[in-house]
Amino acid sequence: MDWMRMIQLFIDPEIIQATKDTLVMLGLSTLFTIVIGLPLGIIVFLCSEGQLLSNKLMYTILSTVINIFRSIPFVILMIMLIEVTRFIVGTSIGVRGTIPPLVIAAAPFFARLVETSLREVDKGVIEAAQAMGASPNQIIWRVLLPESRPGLIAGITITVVTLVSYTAMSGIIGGGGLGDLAIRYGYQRFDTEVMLITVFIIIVLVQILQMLGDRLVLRFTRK
Amino acid sequence: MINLTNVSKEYIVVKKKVNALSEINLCIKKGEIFGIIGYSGAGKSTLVRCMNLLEKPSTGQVEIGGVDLTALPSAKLQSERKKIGMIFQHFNLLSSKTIFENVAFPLRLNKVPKKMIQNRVDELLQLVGLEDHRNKYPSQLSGGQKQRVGIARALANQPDVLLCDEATSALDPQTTQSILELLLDIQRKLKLTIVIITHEMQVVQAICDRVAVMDMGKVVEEEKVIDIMLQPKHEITKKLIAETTGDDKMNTILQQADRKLLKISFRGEQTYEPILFDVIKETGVSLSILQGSISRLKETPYGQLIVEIFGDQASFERTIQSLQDHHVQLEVL
Repeated sequence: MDWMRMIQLFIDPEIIQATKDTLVMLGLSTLFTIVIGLPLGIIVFLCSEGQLLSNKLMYTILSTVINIFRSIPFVILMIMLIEVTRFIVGTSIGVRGTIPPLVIAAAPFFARLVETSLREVDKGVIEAAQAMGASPNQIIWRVLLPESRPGLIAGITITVVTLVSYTAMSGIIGGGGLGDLAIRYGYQRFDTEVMLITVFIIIVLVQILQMLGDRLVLRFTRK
Repeated sequence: MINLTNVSKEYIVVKKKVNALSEINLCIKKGEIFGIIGYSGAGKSTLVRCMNLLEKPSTGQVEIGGVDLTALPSAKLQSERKKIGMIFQHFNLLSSKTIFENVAFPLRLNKVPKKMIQNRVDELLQLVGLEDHRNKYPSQLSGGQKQRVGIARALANQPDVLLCDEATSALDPQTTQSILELLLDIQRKLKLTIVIITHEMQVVQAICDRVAVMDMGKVVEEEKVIDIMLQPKHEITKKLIAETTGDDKMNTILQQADRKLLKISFRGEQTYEPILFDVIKETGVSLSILQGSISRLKETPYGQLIVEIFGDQASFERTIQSLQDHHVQLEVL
């Protein structure tokens, strides 16, 4: 292994570009995952038994759909979705082509995490809000979300970390970013240095994200 | 103020119908403190939760302040609920919000202007004695303080009615006392109607005007507190009272049939008069007090003694006559 080359690779334009691509994919897919997963999780929670909109049929349908998406391994899901991705963003490769499968895989996962953290909210508090005449909307925005904030942040952290590994996997179908680099150079050309450097960057990225998430959770925990 | 007509509540538990409440009729007057007492599982919590429709009664009518809540669509019900405060056994405060924000919460739901919220919350925190804790979080407070926050929050919208669901059950005796005093104080200042659910007779004794005793989803007795204390009719009531006074230990003595035993009840000012002394002087009998309690229900003093009369049947009857002349309540045991 060539240490000098390793150090040089840190300022290699291709690696820097790939890191940027990964961050863009991560940022956008996290955003869309939250936009879709949070409401989905809230609806699933509200439909579950004994909750505000308790609806067994609706719950079963949503829960099953979530389970189906969660049980398909991401590598396979991403290939299955190629046509769908083309339809949504016009291409199935590169940064753009990676975001739809990432979101479709991560949103149901995040929705489940949302549901679990909402379940942690003391039922008595919801009841107290009802007794004060709060509407279902007010209960969602002023009770459920603020009360479960630490849990939701922890859920987002887990989801983002999962998304990091998904973005790397998407390299298999030409997804761009660090994973793509690792596969093209590291796997196909046996270029150990490039592979190690991408892995190193990914590890650092995950560490930073996890630390950030943990700090935020701590900051918002009042119990 | 609060009228319940034929209120029933059924649950389906594992395909079996359970009657949590059956045919409850209650009429709670404006400005009174009304207690609902019973053992756990008697249905008292369900009953109070039916009053603001946190539980929907299966049948029957709930009317508060002249409005039939059971007939309202949900938006109207939400606005009616703002006139009904409620406090809970486990306080149910928002853990993510400060004390100030917790008390402000119902006002914000109501879209009250910021400036008014500020003033109102300050006023309420002062009323419950927590003005120094406004920026703390609930987890930093003791149980009694949390319940004070609960009370302040319940009063924020200036309700006519305050429902207390086992509000003191999670508190130690001393804190319970201070919360009860606060409730009594608030009731006097604000002329609220208060409904108190409890399993402790002491709570009822301390602040209630009237009380309903519940057992197996039914109201088995409903009286003024003093009448319930001095002349309980239903078995459950007797048991509840015996637990607080320690009367249950008397049973072995009471079962000895050959003894001449009298239960004497005093109410009001006569509690403090030397009636027993006068009776002994008049009749010359000798007696001994086996058991007794002298206490207060809110402002009313009352007392109850179990005495044994020594002597023949004639002197026993003379004693009864003399006691009756002093207008005390008597029961031959």
